[in-house]
Amino acid sequence: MSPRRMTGAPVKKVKKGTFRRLIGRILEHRIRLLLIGFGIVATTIVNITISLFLKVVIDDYITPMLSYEKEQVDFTPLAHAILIFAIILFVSAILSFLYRYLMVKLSNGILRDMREQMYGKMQHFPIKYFDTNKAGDIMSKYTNDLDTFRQVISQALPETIKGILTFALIFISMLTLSINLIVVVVFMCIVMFLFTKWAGARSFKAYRQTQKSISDLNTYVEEMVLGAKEVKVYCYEERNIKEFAKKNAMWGEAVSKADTLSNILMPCMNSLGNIMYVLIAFAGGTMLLYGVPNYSIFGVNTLTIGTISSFMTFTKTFTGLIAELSGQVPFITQSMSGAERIFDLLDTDVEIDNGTYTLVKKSDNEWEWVNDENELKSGERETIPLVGNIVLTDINFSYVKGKEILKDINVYAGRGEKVALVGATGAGKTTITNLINRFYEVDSGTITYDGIDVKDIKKKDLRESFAVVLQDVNLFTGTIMENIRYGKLSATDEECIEAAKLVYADAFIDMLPDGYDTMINGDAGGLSQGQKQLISIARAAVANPPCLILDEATSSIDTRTEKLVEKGMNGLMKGRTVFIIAHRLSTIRDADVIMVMEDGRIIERGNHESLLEKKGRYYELYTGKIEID
Amino acid sequence: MIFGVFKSSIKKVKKESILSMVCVVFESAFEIIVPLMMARLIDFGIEKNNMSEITKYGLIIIVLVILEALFGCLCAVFAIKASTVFAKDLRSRLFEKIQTFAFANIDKFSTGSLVTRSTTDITNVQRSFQMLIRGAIRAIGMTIFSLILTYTIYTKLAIIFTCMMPVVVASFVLISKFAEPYFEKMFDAFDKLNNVMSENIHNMRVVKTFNREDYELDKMKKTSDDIYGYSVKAETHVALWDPFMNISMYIILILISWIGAKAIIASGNNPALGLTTGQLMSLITYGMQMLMSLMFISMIYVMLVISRASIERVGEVLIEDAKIKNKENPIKDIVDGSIEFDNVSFKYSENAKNRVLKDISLKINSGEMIGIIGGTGSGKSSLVNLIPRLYDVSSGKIMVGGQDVKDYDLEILRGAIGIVLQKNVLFSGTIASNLRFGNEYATIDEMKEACEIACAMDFINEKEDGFDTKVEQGGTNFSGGQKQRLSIARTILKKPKIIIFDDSTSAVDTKTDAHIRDGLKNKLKNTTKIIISQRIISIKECDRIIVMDNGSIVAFDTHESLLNNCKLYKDIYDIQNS
Repeated sequence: MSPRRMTGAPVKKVKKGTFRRLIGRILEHRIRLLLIGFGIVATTIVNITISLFLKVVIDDYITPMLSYEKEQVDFTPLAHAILIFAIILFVSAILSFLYRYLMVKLSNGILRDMREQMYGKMQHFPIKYFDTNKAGDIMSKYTNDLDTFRQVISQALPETIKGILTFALIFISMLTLSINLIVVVVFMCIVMFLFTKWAGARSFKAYRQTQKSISDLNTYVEEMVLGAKEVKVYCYEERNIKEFAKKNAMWGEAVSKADTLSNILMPCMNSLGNIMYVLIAFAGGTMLLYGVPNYSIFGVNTLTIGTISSFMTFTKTFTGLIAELSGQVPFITQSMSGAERIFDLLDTDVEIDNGTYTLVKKSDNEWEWVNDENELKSGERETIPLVGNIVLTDINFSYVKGKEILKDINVYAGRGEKVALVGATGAGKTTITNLINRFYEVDSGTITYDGIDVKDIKKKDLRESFAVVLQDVNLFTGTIMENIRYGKLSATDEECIEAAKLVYADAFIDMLPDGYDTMINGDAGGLSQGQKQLISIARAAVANPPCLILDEATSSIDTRTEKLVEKGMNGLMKGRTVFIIAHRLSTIRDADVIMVMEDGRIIERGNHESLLEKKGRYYELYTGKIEID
Repeated sequence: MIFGVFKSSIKKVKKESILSMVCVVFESAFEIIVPLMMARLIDFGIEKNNMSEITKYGLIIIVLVILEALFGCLCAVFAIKASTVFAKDLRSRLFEKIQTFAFANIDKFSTGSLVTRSTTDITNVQRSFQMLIRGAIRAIGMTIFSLILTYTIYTKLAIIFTCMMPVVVASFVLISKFAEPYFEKMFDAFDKLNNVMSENIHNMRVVKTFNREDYELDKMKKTSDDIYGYSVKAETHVALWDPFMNISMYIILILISWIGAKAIIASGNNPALGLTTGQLMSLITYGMQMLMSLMFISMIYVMLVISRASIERVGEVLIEDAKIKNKENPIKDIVDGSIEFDNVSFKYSENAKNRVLKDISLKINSGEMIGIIGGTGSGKSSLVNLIPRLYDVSSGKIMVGGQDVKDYDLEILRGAIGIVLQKNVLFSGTIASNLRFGNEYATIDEMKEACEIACAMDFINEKEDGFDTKVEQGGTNFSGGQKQRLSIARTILKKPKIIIFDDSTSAVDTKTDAHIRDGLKNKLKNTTKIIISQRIISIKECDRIIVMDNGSIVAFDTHESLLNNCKLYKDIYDIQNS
């Protein structure tokens, strides 16, 4: 029932086959469709007969009764006819409810399935998909496009089918009455069609203009409201209002033009329909007057008064139908581009995952890799204990073909080692970690994990062996407890609190009025960036993984707290492999290996002391001679 | 009542709305008379085979129909004009309101929700308004005219119609009432779903690293199932309308034919004596017309229910009182950049248990350079946010230039205090347009000078287009350090008396950081400078340094004496210099 909403994206030529796929989706539910179809046909026929009912009552009952003497008039036959009619009508009303009910269930069911199928599939899309598509655009597939889809299957399509069916039935009925008069109808239909086409083309152009201006306006509002604090701080309010007023006025102009065009269509069509009615009366009257032979599919006869009035009754229904269809059909065509975007999402390839090695936890601190594919001769499966040796050999990588991000990267991280990556934004530090857990695939070179090529490890298990803490805080709506538990769904409250204590998040959480039950709610709420980072570190800690990647994980935490967090993490990660990317060089001083990256290459490696001695890039960075960002 | 706030916007379009309503009344009047003429065309023309009568009524109908179309189009023009101007006005009122908001107001709604309110919700309100002034009036007009004509034709049936009407309306409304809670729940579930999905998309890396794909799908399915359940229930109620409408229609049809037949027999189909067959036809038309209109009115009702949430959400913003306002006859001149805190305490909301700042008293002289250091959540940002009245104190008093900040004109106060926020937002446009954000009339030379101080000139010079380099929405094409330096430059351009850096060189390397500080010291001698930082190195050259912990000032002194006398400061120093 929600108001019809047009999708924001510009309408372009829709891929062939989109409509067929849409129909295919609906056809999956044959039995229900059959029932619905039956309901539609039955109620349509009943509806047409109703328009004839009164004529039957007048011609077959009232008129003959008029010839009798008043005292002798017998109302029983009329009463019978009305009764039978009432029963038919009642049944039709029930039928119409039933088919509508089925329709509601069917369309909502299809919608739910589509939504879940899209979402389920999307979970397994490569990260690249999310890096290259704007979140807003992805969301609009689930909101705007899916909603248009719903309107098509629940309203536009059934109404159109019903319309076409009625149209055909009426046309046939008209054929049985008079072909001569149909000429008038066809003529007027052409006029109406041309008119709709003319107005449609114009309103379509204006509609596009509206889309542009509304998106301009909304983008502006979005930017300025999201930056509302900046606006205050720089006293930009008045200029802001002026700028906004300009855009708002442009929107107003465009929208009134488009809406006016589409809204005057209805009254004009209605009038054209009524003119058709009058023309038929003229034509019929003239034929009657001059005794013009009347052609129908049953042959030639003379026109009767009854035929004309029946024909005119049909004409009225006909007019309504044309007006209805002239609205529905363009809507369906326009909405196809939305359907196309949905199918595009469903057609997107999921992540490649051909690995055979899986991770098995043996105890709190022991894991092993098990090869599910090859059985050893003894009948047992090949197992390799997890050590945490990660080796990158001759890695080259580019996000976009031709623009190399990583060049000849060689990294060796042994068990229990802390490997730090240092370098400017865009040097490729995060990219390396993206390759290790296979968010992206290398262009050339190999990455091995305890001697196994990471491509041979099941993605799920590969990722389970790492916990990653990212710089951008990314918590979910829910309590702090729930957010920590995200790292290990089976964790008890005690385990979560334990993890929080380990990374010194417990101190501030305890101070909150609701403690661990404090709700985290989008960007609102009183938690600072640093506090949110602490929660995400606790989330990684509760997962207790064999390896850890810290990507600027403590950038918003003050140095004192950072020290404490580090201490806790070091305890947790003893004997495990850690990759660490940090901005503040003070946090990586104790790393076993520090790699300095520049333009996708590792230009220096060594520990803190040896790198300082070298007096190279690291030395310059550390002493503040050059800028890191 | 929340609806009261819409009054002034409605008043703006009073003329168009009334014209549109008048036109729609005429349109529906003609639309009702047309079937009457059509009945005559059949009765006196076709049935009597009288060509001149056909011509007469035919022409009348054509004239009426053209008039109907004319009024219909006019109504559309006025209604669209009214609703567009209404939405335009409402949107700008909303936008202007948001401009008056204090940080506390913005926090209350959250920026994301303010965006939805000023885009999607406004569109819904506009649609409802248009529906009301055009659709609803038309439906009411049609009902009344049909009823009047029924009375002129056959009083007995008209009375029956009149009696049936409230029953029909009541039933429609009742069905809608039952459907209403489901609609509400459905929309709530939709909001929830959108939130779940959008978080999922934004946090996809987290989902994947923890292998939570199936967990996320389950989470979504739960809400999706809710939506399915509520939608089916809500829409089934609406589907009930159809058979109900049909049955009412059939009852009317049967009543008309039965009572009509008897009346016609009684009159002998003589217009002079009573009902005729032609009139019977018209009666049916009017009966149907009335029902359709009633159903339409109920539909509008449901529409309003659906958009009620939007109406309320827009209204909430409009009635929200800006937390910080100018007082009457505010002071328009700030003498100097001295700052004094007198026993200041602060909480983010009245109900909050914890005070973020506790009994702070301090005095800063004009032109001094002050550093602030302290742990995460110690209250550093809150402290400086109070100076330009981004928030107001909960108790105590802050004075700038010897006067209470509350006595100043807000624009003058904020104009005189530049603050570089922790999270920097650049706006789409060019580097120059972003720099001019703080000072509309800044010249190229001034911009160059400010960028020199902020050490931004180097990377700007590297860009092909210099100051005309394009900035994407959110400044995504600039690195964190570059964004910070641009923000610093745009604050300097304001030529403030007090300039505050809220950890705003965290992404800048130490050398550049030092350069910026030197520039500030030498070029902005008379400006009071406050620098919040996590790094001692960034603040140690300040005239004095405030050390904060847990909402209180631990010490306020020079670097040297803090090293000797303040344990907390010494700890931080040791960690950073070990």
